[in-house]
Amino acid sequence: MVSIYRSLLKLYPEAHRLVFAEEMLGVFLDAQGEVEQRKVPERIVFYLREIAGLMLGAARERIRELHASNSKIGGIMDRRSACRFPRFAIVMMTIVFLIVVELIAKGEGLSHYLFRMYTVGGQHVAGAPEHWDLGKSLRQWPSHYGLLSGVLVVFLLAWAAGVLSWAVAYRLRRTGAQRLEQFPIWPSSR
Amino acid sequence: MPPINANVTEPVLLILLSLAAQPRHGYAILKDVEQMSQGRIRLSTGTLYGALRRMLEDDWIQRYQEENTSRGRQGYRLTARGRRLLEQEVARMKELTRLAGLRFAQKEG
Repeated sequence: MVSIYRSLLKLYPEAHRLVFAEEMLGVFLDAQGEVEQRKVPERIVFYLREIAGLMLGAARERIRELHASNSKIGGIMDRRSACRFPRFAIVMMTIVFLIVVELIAKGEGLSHYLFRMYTVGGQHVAGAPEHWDLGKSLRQWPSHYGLLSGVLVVFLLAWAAGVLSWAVAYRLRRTGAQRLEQFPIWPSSR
Repeated sequence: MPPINANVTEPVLLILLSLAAQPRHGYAILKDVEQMSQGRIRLSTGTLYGALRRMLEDDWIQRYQEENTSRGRQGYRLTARGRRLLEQEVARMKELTRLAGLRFAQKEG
């Protein structure tokens, strides 16, 4: 039963586990020690109550974490979701968008240069690699694919880069436990 | 001093009452709540620690490391704010009881 209890504790958010999990397990062991002296039906009720309590408690804590406020004053502006899209990612998306546009412009220039290297008066020069048509592709872009699809591709690239940046920022974010330590009511060293 | 605006459920009220007399650790609170409610309210550890977490956040109780315990238990005690809230709730219940007594007397009369 202790292993089941430990497993169910993992349903709780990390911040809650760091502060309370060990203590909850200790209290559960105390209560279990007492209930083991009682009859089987009472023991079953005890275990069912504990399991239901943990599952509901974990669900409540998860919901609370999603809508937790960092400030005791509260308010919509102070409310921070655990899945909040960081402003950092929006900045990164803009930067990446500009870099990609710049790279395409450079690539187009490069394609023109390469095209001139292997053609004289529009005729293909003997010995030039025929299978390599990157320059041609770049030269034709965006007219070959259309301006709208070109912009769409760039947007998707920037979006993907933004999501990647968000994932990095989310991983490096301060954990709930670190945020909780701002409050004097939580132990600072655990 | 302005009243504390809070929705106090029965388990929370019993936890506050349990800590009113003396600081206690988690298991002692569980037992005391069960005893005070004459076995009617038996808190699971999940329910208890959810309530304790909210009460800590609202500054109704404080957490401290108990000394001379093998497990390094955490104890809980009422804050001044928590005591004020408890007194406020008890006063509200007294007023409710008084009103109920008056209404019953009116009906009987």
